[in-house]
Amino acid sequence: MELLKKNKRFEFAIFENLSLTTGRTLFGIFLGLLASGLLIALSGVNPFVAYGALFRGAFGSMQAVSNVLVRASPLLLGGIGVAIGIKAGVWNTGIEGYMYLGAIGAAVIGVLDLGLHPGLHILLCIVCAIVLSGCWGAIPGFLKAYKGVNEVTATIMLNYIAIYLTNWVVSNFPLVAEVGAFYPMSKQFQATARLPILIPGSSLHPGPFIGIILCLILHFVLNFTPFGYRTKMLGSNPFAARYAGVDSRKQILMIITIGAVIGGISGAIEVMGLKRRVFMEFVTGVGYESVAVALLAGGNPLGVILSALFFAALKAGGATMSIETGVASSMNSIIIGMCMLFVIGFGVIDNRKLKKIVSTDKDPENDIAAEKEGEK
Amino acid sequence: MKKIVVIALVFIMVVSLAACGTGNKGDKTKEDMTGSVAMVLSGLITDKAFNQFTYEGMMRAAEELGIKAAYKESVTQDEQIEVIRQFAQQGYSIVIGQGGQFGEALSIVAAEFPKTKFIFSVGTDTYGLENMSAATVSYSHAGFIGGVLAGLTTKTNKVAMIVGEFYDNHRMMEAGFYAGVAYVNPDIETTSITTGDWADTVKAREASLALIAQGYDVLFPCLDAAGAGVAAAAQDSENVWVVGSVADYAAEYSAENVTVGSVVFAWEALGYLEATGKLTDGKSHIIGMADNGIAPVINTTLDSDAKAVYDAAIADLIAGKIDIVD
Repeated sequence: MELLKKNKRFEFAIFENLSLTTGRTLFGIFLGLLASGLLIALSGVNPFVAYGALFRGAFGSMQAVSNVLVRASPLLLGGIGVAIGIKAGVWNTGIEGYMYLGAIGAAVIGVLDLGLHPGLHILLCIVCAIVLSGCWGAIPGFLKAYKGVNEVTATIMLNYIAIYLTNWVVSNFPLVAEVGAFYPMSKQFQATARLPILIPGSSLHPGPFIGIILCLILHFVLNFTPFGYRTKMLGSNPFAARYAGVDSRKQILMIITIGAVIGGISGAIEVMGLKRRVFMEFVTGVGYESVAVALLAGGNPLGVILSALFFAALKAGGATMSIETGVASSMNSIIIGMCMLFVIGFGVIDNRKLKKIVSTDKDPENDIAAEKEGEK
Repeated sequence: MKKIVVIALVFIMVVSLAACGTGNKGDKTKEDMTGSVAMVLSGLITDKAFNQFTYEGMMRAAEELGIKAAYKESVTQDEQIEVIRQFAQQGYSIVIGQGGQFGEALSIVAAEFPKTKFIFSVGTDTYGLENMSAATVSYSHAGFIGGVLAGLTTKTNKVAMIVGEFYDNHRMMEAGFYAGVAYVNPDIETTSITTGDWADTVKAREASLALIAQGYDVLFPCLDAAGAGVAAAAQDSENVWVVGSVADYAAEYSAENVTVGSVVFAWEALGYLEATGKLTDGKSHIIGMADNGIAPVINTTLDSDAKAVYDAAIADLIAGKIDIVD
């Protein structure tokens, strides 16, 4: 009976905690929108009209919703790739590079006319993307795990190499590059290697749903498997994890490589579903945005779904906003930045409060001693 | 489970907010969309280059013709299709994609909206679609005029072209340049080099100094920001001249003392022509000298002989007597 009661209280605490973090996030977003509204007003546009256009651009029609989903696709996949890293205590900031490598991998197979069944061709492309991006991700993974190289530096530097590698592939690699193009790009993907469009007249490909499914799968992996338990243990206390017998090096290598593979799938889906070619510099910062997505979600896979959709809605709605109201296109990044700042700011305040509570309650004997001294 | 409930609640909140948004703006007055034009740009409309000038050309046309014009700047690769489709859905008659990276996205949306006209600006491919046209300024004409100016200037009879990288259009420009030099004097030695980077000023300067050391005394750069490096190299050397292209080198890089002239790409004229609706016939257009696609600026005074050669060259070019690809 006693145990049951405790259990109940325990669950209640989790719920309270979650609603606290969700509420905090929402309040941060609200303040971010408020502050950006002020800036929009300063730039001479009625913020209500601007936000009206933003909401219509994100949710106003089926088309708008599909735009949001299409934009969410790389953010979902990239976000979950970073998020599992956060859970293990590593910052896997190489999504940008993995996306390029995945795209190259998909293109090498995708532009060839192999006469295959579409499903098989797509599968081959994805497999090739996984292999290439996985190998790419294993480099910083190995460096971090076995040589102690900072993973942020390693992955960001590798991003540049991936960008220039892609530039070379799409302008000079004869198997893939389109010769005589006005902009460096690959040949068009074969019809059999393109992902199907789910709603005619939109660009909605299966990417966002694959992303959501992956988020759900990783949520279960993290919470209900030994692998996930080791990952979380490593993230919350690496020393304790090592003491408990976790092979932390292997675990880090695996986590970074898994992130890379998911990033590679993200890049492959982007070119096979949306762009139909690999263009020079086609990712344009989405890989870094997915770090922000994971950060906003606090590394929680289910949170990634929400925060990726939030980012995508702001981006898609922001485009409509600047088309219809003439707000500068940079306002979009400002809104996203403001929301992030406020959400993270609240996190800092909460942590401080927590520290205070912890430090005063840490040693009750001290308090007693202090009281006694006061009495004297 | 509770997490899912929270997520669902958030969704309901967001969607209901959206519903408020749509409710307020439901009765939007219908505007006259005949001839209306929209432009998607990869950069900012204040970049003092390519994007700004084409945009200004479109706005000039819109003002003169009294048509509705709209634009979206800084369109990244992941939003190209989405933004172009939005313009088509809103009923714009002409949608212009400004830059070589828009071709594929334009062709995808053009297939969905057969009644809307699409222009692939600074491109040549129409993807076989009737409602998609392409338009660009003539790189080979620019190269030819640059070649004539370089040929008239050189004393050592060695002239060189410097580009970031050879894309298709720069190959045409190179051929035009050689033809222009040969028009003045077939004995002049020519070469071309790539620096591998359109914006690396230091690299461009080093490459220029290497050419100058080999005796090349007229440099013909086709670069972006790196052009400043070529101008600097010429300024640091004796009797070396620059024939600029794309931008006006004398004004842009304050190199009046070494700049013979520049073949400026008239992006403004291109944007203007595109917005007027004259280029929407489903064909690929190259705007050359005859249509003011190239605007040569001359910073020195040519003597009467040289002036005669230059004028004859321009006249021949406009008349189509020069045997170069458009």
